[in-house]
Amino acid sequence: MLRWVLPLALLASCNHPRTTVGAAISLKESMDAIQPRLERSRGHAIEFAFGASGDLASQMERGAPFDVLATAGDEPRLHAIADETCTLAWNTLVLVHRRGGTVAGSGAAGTAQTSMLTWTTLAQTPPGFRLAIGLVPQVPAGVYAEEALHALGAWDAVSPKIVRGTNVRNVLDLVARGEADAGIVYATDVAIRPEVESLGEVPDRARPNVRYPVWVAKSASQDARAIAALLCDDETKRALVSHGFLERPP
Amino acid sequence: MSPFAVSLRVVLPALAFVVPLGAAAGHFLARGRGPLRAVLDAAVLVPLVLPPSVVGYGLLLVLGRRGAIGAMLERAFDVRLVFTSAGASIAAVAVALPLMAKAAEAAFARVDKNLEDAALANGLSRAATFRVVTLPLALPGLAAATTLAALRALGEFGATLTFAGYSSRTATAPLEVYFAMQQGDDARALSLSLALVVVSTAAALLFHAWSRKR
Repeated sequence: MLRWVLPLALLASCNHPRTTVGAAISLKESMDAIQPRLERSRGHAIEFAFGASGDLASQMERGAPFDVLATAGDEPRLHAIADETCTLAWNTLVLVHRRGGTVAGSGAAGTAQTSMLTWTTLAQTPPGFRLAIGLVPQVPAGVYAEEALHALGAWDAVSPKIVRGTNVRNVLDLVARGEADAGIVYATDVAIRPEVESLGEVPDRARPNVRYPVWVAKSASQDARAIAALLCDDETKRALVSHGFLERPP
Repeated sequence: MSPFAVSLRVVLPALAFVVPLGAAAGHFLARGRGPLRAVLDAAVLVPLVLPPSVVGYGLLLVLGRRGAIGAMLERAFDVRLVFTSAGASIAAVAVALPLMAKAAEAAFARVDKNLEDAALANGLSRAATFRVVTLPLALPGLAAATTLAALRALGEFGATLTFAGYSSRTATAPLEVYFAMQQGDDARALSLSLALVVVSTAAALLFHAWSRKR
């Protein structure tokens, strides 16, 4: 037995040339789509680590094995250790709820409201209402959602009803499972879960600048710099646009 | 609220269920016979060895707002469990109850059956025998079992995060360690961790002392 197990274990731990790229979890499908092209261009395996941008930035700061990181917003803590090379794309916020779910009420606590929930009626939701947004400061979608709610003047009314997701896809999941009555996610997230539907984009007067910068560690290898250049090229931009991202600020 | 205050609000109600139910299950496991005992034995072992994330996911499917029982609870009593300390308590019960039952089984199994038989032969009822013979003899072992279950409930992380989520009412000390660490807040993560180490060590010493008593 051991004669087989030992060489296999060694083989599994063998370090093939591979590079890891960190990326905001909202980029998951787009990065999965461009991964084969990156690997063909570089001639070796490239792995992605997805998560909340703030968590990834804090991992990079502590020496996580990625030299390239695409976040869903500025990460001030990265300025000391990395350079921003380009903006991948822009995005926008949407209010979502579970398709066919009670619109503004929730079970026995909710008053059966027939009016459609919108960004501007968020402040008038019943006491049992739950709005899911991302955990701040590590989830940029949560930071943007708070900004938007402040700009709409809805923060004071809404804040006691807020529940937090540990990343934007967790927020989406809370809405899809009905644990939250509504949630604030990126426009590009809605298509991921068929149970979820958009109730509309954030109004212009409250629109945060959702931007995806690409960071390269100051100590990055040539290979990492080449990967960052590929992430910044037109073909990547086209892939992102096909996944619903915006080429310029809305 | 401090993470330890949240932990207490989660763990104490959980123990109110875990201790009596676990002791009763343990007694049945130690003294019972037949297929029912075998079923209970397996039912207790499975959650003990399952990954807590699986336990939490199972709880979410059944007790979430769209789960069979969760939907009923909300309709009938307007009770929601996800994001509440009651939900976190249920996660704690799910992981601590099996441990309490197994440890209580060991405590009851150590009680000399001849002493119980002698009491019965002398005309004591089953209930009286349990009260004056079995329970006093098993008490140190039950105290040790309670300590172990309390520690497991206090240390619960996976099932809580999966089922009850992360909110101000579910932010127990173990969850706060994780989220503080992820944010690079080492001062907070480390101080909470050290406090947990101290509490756990003290409880482990207590467990050691109880479990040596006969």
